[in-house]
Amino acid sequence: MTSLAKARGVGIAARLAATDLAIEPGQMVAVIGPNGGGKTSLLRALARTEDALGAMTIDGQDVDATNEPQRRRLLAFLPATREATWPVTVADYLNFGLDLPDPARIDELIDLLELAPLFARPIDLLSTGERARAMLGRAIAGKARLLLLDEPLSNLDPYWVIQTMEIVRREIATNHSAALVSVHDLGMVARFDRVLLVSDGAIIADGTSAAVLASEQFGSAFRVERGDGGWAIRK
Amino acid sequence: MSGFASLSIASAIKIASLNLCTDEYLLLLAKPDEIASVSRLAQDPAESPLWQSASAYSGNRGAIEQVIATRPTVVLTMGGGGRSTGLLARRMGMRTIDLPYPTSIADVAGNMRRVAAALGDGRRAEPWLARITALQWGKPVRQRDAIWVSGGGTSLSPGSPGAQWLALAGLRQRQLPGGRAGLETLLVAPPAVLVRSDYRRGQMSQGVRWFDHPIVKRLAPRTVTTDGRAWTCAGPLMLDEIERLRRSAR
Amino acid sequence: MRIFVALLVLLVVAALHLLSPFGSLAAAQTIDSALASTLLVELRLPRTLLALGYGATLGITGAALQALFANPLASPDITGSSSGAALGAVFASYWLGLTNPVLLATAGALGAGLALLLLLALAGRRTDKVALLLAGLAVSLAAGAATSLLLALAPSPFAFYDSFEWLMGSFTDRSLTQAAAALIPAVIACAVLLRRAGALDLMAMGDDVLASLGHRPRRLGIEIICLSAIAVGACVSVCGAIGFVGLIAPVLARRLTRGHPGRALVPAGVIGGLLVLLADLALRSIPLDQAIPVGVVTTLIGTPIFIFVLLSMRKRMAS
Repeated sequence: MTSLAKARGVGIAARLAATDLAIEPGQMVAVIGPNGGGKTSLLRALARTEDALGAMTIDGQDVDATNEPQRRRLLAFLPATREATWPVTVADYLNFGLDLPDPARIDELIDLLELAPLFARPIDLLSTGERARAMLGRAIAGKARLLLLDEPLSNLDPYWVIQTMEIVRREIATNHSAALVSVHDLGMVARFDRVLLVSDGAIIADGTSAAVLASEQFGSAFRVERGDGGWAIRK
Repeated sequence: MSGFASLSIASAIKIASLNLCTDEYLLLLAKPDEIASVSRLAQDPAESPLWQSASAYSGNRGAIEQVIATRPTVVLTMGGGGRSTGLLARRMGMRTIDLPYPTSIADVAGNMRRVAAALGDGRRAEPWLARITALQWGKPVRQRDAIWVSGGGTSLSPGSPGAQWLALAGLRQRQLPGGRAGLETLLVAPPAVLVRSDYRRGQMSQGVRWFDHPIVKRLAPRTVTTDGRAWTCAGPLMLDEIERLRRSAR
Repeated sequence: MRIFVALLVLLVVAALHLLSPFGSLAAAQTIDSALASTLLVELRLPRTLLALGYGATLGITGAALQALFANPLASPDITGSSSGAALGAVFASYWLGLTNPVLLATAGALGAGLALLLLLALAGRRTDKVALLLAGLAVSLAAGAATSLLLALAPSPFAFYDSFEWLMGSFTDRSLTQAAAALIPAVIACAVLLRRAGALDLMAMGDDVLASLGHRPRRLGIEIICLSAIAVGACVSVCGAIGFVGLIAPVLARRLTRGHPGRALVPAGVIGGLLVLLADLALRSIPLDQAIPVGVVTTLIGTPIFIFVLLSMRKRMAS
């Protein structure tokens, strides 16, 4: 099975060392790590932001060589910031995720993310949680091959934490695509097929959630260990 | 006054002029050792045609304190000179002569006589008065419609001294709204003669840029240039300009 | 459809501006029809073209700068680029003695560009909105003061009185050559800006998303700044700095585009052109001997709108 995405030497100066990575179709990958360790930098490097180094191919195509319409089919990036400057309506904001207008897809997303009462509301007037849903909708609208989501579960109600996971999982299954999701709450990690542990600007562990959580690298990176009734500071 | 008494008084006379317009009379009528001080404007090539001779003297900025060191016996002012000027002058034993702003050519002639008298020699004014009289006698009957312009289209009022001088050259300054020649007027109702002041022509200002407009340039065939510096005071320096304008009108 | 109606309105207002006052035009026509056409072409046309073109430029560059800085209150005057342009043009014409209109337009563009660079150095691009505006005001005030100083110290004593025109704008007595020197670079620069409208819309999602979609945010930023500087600089070198249009036109335009910053470029251009034409028309219908700079009218209209936008920004931030 050929990989969906192959990254070679991707990194960001002073934040993420040159990294190689391969993602398979259908994979839900969690990216975990201590604050400032490079989780966001990994996602940004894969999203090919302006300061990203290295190269990446998706479905055999060199991502850096693609134009906007092609790029939309290959990847979608959702930053962690929930800021919105302009009073664009939710419906229009969802449209930002599409190359060509597609009212059917917009309706589908509005249903999926329960945005019906908000679709005509300017996005800068929504609550943080509501805005998070609209922004997620924009990211998944185009059915990109690789979803790069930075902390999509932060500050969400438990209902929406579970719903977001479900929605992303369904999108991947339907489109045979893949997703990298950076996660802060370690309790969610078990729902992912694969976990990348990023610390000090490098991927130091890569495997199943059980394996990574139990690893020595995990302990030294987070300085906590599993105890009875949750986590405890590591001796 | 005549005889030995007037000679000794004459050699003791030293006049300080505090105003560009009074400088003109002084520089034209006085001998070098009779001039104590002239204004700094008179020494600026952009302000006065007499700047070279004016440079020989101490320059003042219009305040009497600045001329005390030159020990004048008479202080020339125009349009008042200020209360303090009069007070200080009396304290220091100086005589003040205040010339009125000229509202006519007769006023200019009158000012010439007064300055000559202050120098103790009324006859010095005579050549100038003769020139004025000659111009007035020879005033052309046929007056051509004219507009005098400076930067930005600024013009003269028909009753002003400048306009009266123009009339001696056979040019009748047109009455303009706001005292300004608009480009539309110059295009639709151009004057027979456009008298252009070249005051500070080489120095950038929006007013000078106005002259580059195509509508103004179209009037080049009927434009005559005049030394703008004489028009500031409309005094005796105008004689050269008007005589020149009259000659070129023929 | 709406854009055609808007352009039609713009054309009608421009025609009104060109033909008024109608009385003197008709009078010229009775004297000589060649005279009337000269009056139209040499005197009125430059004024109308400049009012329309400069207004549209302010609208378009204002919308572009607001999109770039993600700030609804950025604009050529508030970011200091208008004052910087005036400073450049004044230095070049009064102190270096340059008279070539192309060189003066270049000096204006350089002044505008340097002001924007100074702003970036002071405030950065993605800072607190208010910090950006304060830095922009500082640059604008400093450049304005420097312009007045250069004019006060210039060789000609008349220069000081010119500062009113440089800092508040004027269209009177401009020639067709001057209009060309201002508008040819402005039109070209604005045309290129319009092609970036799509990317500016996407910029609403942030630089990283923009980059992930295949654009280059930093290069786009430099382009926007350079193009705005060229367009504004050329116009200011001929007409002086006109305030508030670059702020109000995009604000009004975004109401028509439902908040989209990039799509607002074209409507902002139309609204900007309309605003300046109407301001100049209003000025000319008041029979006064003194020449009032057009910037006085735009500032009088613009200040209450600016305050209104500021207050609604505060309300939004608070909620």
